[in-house]
Amino acid sequence: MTRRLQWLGICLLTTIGCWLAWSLWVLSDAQYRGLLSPITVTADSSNWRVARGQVVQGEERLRIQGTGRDREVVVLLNMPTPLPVEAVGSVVLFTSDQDDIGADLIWSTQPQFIISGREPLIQVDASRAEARLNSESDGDQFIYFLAIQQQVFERPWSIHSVEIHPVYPDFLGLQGMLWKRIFDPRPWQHTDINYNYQQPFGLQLSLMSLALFWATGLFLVLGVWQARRGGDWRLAVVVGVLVVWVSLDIRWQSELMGRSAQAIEFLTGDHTAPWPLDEGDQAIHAFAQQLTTTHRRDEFNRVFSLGYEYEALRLRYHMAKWGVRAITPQRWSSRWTRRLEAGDLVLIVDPWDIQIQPLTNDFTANPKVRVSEVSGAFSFEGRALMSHQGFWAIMILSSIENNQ
Amino acid sequence: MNLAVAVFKLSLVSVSIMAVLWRFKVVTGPGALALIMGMGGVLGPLLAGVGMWMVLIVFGPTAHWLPEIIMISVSLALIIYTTRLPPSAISLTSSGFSASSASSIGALGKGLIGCFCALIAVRFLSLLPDVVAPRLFPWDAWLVWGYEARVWFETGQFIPFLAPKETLTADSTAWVSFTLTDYPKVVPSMMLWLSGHVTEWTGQAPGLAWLWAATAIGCLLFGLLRQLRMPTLVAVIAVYLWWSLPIINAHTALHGYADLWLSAVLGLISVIFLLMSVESKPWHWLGIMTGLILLPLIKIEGIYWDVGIVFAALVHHYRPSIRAWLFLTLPWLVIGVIGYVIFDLDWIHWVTGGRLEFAVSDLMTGLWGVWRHTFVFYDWHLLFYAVFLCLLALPWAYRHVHHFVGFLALVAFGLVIIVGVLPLSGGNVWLGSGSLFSRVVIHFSLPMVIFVVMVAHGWRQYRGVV
Repeated sequence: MTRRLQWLGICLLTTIGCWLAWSLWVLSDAQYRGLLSPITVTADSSNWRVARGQVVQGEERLRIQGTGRDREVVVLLNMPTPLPVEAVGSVVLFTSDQDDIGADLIWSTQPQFIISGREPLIQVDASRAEARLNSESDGDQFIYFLAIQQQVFERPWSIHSVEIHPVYPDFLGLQGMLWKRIFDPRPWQHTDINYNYQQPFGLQLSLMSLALFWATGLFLVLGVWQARRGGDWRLAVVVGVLVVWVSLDIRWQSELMGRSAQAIEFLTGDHTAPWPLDEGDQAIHAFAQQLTTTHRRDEFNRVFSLGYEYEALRLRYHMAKWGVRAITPQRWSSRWTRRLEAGDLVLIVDPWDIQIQPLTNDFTANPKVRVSEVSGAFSFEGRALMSHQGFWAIMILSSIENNQ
Repeated sequence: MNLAVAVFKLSLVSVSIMAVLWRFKVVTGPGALALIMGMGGVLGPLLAGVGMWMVLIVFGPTAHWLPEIIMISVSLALIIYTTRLPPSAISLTSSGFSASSASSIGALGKGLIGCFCALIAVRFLSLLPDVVAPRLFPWDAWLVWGYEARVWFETGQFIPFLAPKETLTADSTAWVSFTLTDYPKVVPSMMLWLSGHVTEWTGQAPGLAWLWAATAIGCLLFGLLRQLRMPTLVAVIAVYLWWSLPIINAHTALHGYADLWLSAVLGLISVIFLLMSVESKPWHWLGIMTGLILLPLIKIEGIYWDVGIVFAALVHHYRPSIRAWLFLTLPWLVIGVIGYVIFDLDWIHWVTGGRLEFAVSDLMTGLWGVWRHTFVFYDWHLLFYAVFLCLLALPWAYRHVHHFVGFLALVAFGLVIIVGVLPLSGGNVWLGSGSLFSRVVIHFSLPMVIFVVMVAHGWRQYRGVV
């Protein structure tokens, strides 16, 4: 009994010692040995939006060429994933050689861009400017947009990429993150069927590796124990694998339970069928509902939805009966508008990249508009039939008009 | 009410098939009921989908009750017909297999069976709210499968979809597809069949079919292992292993993809291969032929699995020795490598009809993707670790599994496709994101779980030298 206790004590102390050594090894590196990776957004990402100024997006850089309205440049970055405000430590902007860009980093904690905070971008070296965020929030605020605002423009410059760094923890903070990573599963919420996301800014530590580390120990302990008793060590291996499998699965089950609870909440609440997937989809659904109530399909020739892939295709799904055809950015060129014919209906579900300008002074009496893509890829004219939350229904009046 | 009618429809078609299988005694002995329930549960909705597709073409979407009426009529006719035959003429199989490893269950065993059954039941209940929710979540579900069903439902006509290149040229009466691939219509037909009785399209009722399929696969697995005289505890653990896989749960909760159905049919064929290894019967070949036809009707990718099944059937039939294996496979391997290196012959392009091609330059991207999804992420729990361990343990377990050479050939084919061919193909860029990898592994998940359980069980029983 005493020998067994001694043996268990040695195992326990070795495990704790290894754990401490591993933690110190991780903390000794500025990038935390890659366990906490920054999020990088390159210049060619579709997440950039130009709010003000003359900016050209290329494969390797965003070229800032001049100011726009209000004599300033504002480039928005739609966050790939909204991040908790308190989790963001700093934002590093990689630029062309620059003495001082004299710009600020601003951010929005609303799905629509509303300035929620501001920090100056301080030049660290010739190609790097950094803004440190020391924001404290109540824990429920997420950054939806970052923006670079330059109010004093001197000469053209370029943005190559942006790195969003997390707040790096101390020793206890690291232990807390590890605890959360293992024992605090978030409700499974994602709608992507293909794989389980690694939480952005979460510890990039494989649960599988942890489980395997534990399993190996378990095999050894059980195997040695069984062998000493003259028992079946193979059973120990099978049981070891099974125990780890069940442990991983119980964690996965708790994630599923969170999701089930949300689904039950939806099921027991008031809802209209079919349920839209998210807030953006709700707006698209409402737009489709309004259009199909006020107009009939046979009033039009063909119906197109114009917008980014998700929006254009969701509208196509909600209006399946109308045979809507999606025109997504891959098709955005001047060529497609030449195919428009009189009576065609174009449904615009992109309030950011497609501008609608009235062509008459009395819009109510004569709602003729010009539709144009911000970078000039295409433009056409038509009559506005309806507008709802930034989405438009435009009827083409004549094909000749669009050829001009 | 809508859900109750959908369950009723699913039950009708599944029970009609179960009744025929039961009447013809295709399987008897331990696990026979579970096996028949699994077969009926998989084949019923799929055959109803095929029936609905035919009905769509001939009568249009409003005749959504016809598939089950036809299936029930045919089943009843078969049952009535067989009652007039002498009993010996309808017994398609003998009374079962020789008992080899049946063991009595102690109190600990019963407790463990209870625990694993409870875990499966909890999983079932936690998937249920998502399955009955009136929405289609995942991308392809509402972009392809659900969209087509919805168009037919809302227009009341069987509308063909034109290729995307006709988006700007087709006239106003046409519906245009967004994806380049023209997928088969069985899965959208099945969705339409399950939604035919509702007044407004919500995407709700079809979700039940996905949970139905997952349950049927569980029954198949349990029934198979009991037929092979494995202990009840092992059979229940095997069902738990498959049911616990996160990606399988994701494909059930976020229903609407065709991959779970492909998995069900490939699983059914694997089960038949294993059963026929013990005692070959004519219905086994009939089952395999049905599966061969159904796979490409569910999804185009099913045709690739057909190749694997034909390969496995040949191996099962001729049982080549190791030398014959090398003699048959090495020349093809050499010809393939020489053809690619010297003559630039892209046989992946040729085999896939131009959908994929050799992309050796992105090999590392593909391998990295495979590595992450097998050994780093928890998409598959420890499945790939277990497969890896079982491959190592195979020599020690071979005495117990060498009868199942056709099934082993299918497993070998699948593993070569997953870790060998896919990373070499143009699909390797999607392996990193998981979109391709997860789907291929879903198709092959049941054979992998069966392989793990059989080898682990055989290895545990090993006594002696290799």
